[in-house]
Amino acid sequence: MVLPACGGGGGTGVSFNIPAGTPPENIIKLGVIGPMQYLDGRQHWEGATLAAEHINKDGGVKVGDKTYFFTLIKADSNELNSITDASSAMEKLITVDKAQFVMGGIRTEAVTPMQEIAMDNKTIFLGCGAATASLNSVVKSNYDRYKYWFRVTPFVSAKLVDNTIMEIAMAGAIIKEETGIKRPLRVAICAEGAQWADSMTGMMNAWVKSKLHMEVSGTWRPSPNATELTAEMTAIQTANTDIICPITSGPMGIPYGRSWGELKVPAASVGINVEAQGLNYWEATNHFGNFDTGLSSYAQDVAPTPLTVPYFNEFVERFKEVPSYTSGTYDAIYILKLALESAGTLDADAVVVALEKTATTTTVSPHFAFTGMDAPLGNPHDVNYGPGANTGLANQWQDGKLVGVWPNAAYADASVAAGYDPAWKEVNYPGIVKWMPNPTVVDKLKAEAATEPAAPPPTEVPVTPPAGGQPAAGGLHVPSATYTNDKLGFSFQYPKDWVTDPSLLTTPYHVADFRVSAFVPVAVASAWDQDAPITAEWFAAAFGKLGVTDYKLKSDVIDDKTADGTPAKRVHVKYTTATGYEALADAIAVDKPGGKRIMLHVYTVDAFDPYVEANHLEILHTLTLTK
Amino acid sequence: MIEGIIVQTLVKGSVYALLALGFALIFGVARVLQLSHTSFYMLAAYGLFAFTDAAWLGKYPFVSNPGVAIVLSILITTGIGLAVYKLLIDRVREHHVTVMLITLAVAMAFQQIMLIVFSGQYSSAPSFLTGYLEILGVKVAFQNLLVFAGAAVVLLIVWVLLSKTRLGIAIRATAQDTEIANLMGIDVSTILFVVMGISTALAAIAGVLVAPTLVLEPGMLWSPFVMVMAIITLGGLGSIKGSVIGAFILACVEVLVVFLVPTGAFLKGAVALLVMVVVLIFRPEGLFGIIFEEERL
Repeated sequence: MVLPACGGGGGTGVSFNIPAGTPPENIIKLGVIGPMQYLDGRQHWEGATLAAEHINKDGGVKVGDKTYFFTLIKADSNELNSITDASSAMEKLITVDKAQFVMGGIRTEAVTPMQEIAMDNKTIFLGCGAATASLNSVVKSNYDRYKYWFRVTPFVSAKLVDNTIMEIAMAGAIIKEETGIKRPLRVAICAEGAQWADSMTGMMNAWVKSKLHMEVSGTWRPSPNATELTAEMTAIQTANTDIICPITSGPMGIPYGRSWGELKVPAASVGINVEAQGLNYWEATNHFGNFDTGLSSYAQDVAPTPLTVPYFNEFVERFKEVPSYTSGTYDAIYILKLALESAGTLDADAVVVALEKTATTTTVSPHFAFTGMDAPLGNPHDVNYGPGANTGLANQWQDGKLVGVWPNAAYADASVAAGYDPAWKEVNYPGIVKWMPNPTVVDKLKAEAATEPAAPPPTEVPVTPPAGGQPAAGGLHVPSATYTNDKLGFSFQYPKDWVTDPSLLTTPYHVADFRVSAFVPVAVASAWDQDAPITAEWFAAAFGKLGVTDYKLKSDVIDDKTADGTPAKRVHVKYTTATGYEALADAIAVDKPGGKRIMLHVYTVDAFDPYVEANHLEILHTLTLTK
Repeated sequence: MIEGIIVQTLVKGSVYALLALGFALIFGVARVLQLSHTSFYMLAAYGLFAFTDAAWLGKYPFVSNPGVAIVLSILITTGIGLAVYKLLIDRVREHHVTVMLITLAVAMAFQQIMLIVFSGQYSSAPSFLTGYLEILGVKVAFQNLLVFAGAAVVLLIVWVLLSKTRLGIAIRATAQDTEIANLMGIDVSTILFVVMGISTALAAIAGVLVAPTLVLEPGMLWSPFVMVMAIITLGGLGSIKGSVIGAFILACVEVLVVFLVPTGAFLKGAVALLVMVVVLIFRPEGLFGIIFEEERL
């Protein structure tokens, strides 16, 4: 028996398979919020619809001694066009439509205010679209307020980069195998100019070189709403690129694929292109998207878990579309069901505790669970990731079929060589097929390989300065640049390829910063009044004023000196950055006679760029007081 | 690299020129700031997509023939443009702010209608020509060459129309002084109606030419909207020559950003607008416009 549509006001309330006569108090209202006029939002709704139908049909949810049934309330966030629309939709969903649990969202810029509204109302919000770390780091920094937030899909953006790197590693291995080319392959990064792609772009730039030992031919940042990319594609080809790594979730993915294919750009396309995950992509690119490869959650006949293929097939049959990651609302509702049954109550605080303990099999993970407060990236309530859990997939268009090509155990050596867990060799999903390079890149590289001179012996690039971190006579062990502040009277050196990032200068104390572009490590200079001695307490207070959280001194205050011999104090610190990552930092502070106190600190996020104390100290010890 | 910049500038500039020309024409002649101009470009692009979508036109294969689809898209869009002019603009034509508000509302209404009819799913019209040609070592898709050639032909036709025909003389006379043109026996009302038709048709032609190279989505009208505003301001409001030259200047700026500052490629529109601002600071009337003070006399 199916009830007719009910209630909802601006949102459309619909009930599925709820038995006739079910009293309203036995119905749980689930709010599904997303850009409903677009594929992402539509799939939020469609995934949730299937789950609610199945659960209700199978007898509902047993909470304590009562049986409940799920109803869904649709809310159009319109977040691809308007952040304020998203906030209004969430406000209404919770306060007017009385949704008891909410799920969905896709754009970080919109999900962040939506998250605030849900937390204000102590409403559990199951994120099903936004990948940014900061959405989860707030759970750690302010648990009491943000504990109602959980991310079900996708996994955190840093892990999307890991997958992209491994995807490119596999592609590189196959390209070299098929063409015989010896030289390092050249990768162009073509990432849309959106917040979620900023940090990923920086990480890709660094890791393509350090993990894959490939070269970066350039980085292009088109608008996420770009409707044509022929100029970018011409420039990418001019840069002699072998692999293009798109990072896009917007409409840009379609003109990207079409230009790439139509112009027969002699480079493989391997990265993240959300539009390429949909069946519409093949026609929308006029079939020019052939061989395009991108990360995905689902692939035809690929079975990370026993639930995957039945879900995939039902979804395709019902909605005539391949499920994408935002259809993870399906898993979200099943996870919520388990938590409700375990908690035995609808009380949000009790359900939070139950969700934290929930472990189950979903359509994408054989062992799904949420990360705990000790998560390495400082991201509790996030998707647990890795071999044996949620790995993600990569799909490739091969002659009109969207097939799963990664993870491929046969080429897992390439991932291990890039520094990833050898357990990836054990990830062997049924249905995965071999990735195919496009003929244009094969032809180009085969021709080049035929005339390629023998590979020169590999040259070792020094990455670590002499132990002890004492000031090097000539400054840094890598090419350096010098920052000089005439007004405050100090200078320091930093690696020449680092760039300044004004977005990090967020307090009146900040003076200057330099970093690996959009990535770590970062060197930050700050200026202070000399109103107290330089003690452990002062260092702790200073970091607090710089806007970081969870700061903890990991060493005693050490007597040190600057490059000009002025006595200084140094300390090793651990803290959470404003973007939510756990940072390891070294700081040096010195009082300038008759002037300000200057503090210089260098930090990294160990999970991305391993902490090497000597590298930090080398920069700190270039601090010089000038007249 | 220079070859790539030149070729891409010509392709991109030709589309902007087509759009800007239509806008400049209707403003120059009727003094109508027609803010729904690029919505006709969007409607024509969707028209081409709809007519060539064999899924719903299985019974009418004739309609999905590319040539027929193009003609139908242009004609229907032009018809819609004329209807908008006659029903909404003509009666308030003398009230410039009212015209601006009405045409802006029309643009937003068309966007919402397309969202309801076609949803927000990104679509693409099939290419008339596939493959590419290498020019100066730069690969240019045949479809883009078609856009360039089509734009060149249309611009030539418009130039001939305006400079060599009686209709063109009447249009120019009306543009110079409506009242005197009326006294000279020119049916100004009809001329304005015809100019609106030409203007809309130019937007529609641009739409069908570039539809196979773009992602179609209901918000696609806004990006060229901003650029067209910038181009006609840069070229000089109402100046046909200025709008064409302005189109190629701003297209060149956009392409330069992509080639020279690739990490800031998403800022190409903003940089183009900045160039416009800088030019206007030194030449407020635009490159080929009439100085404001003179215009008021």
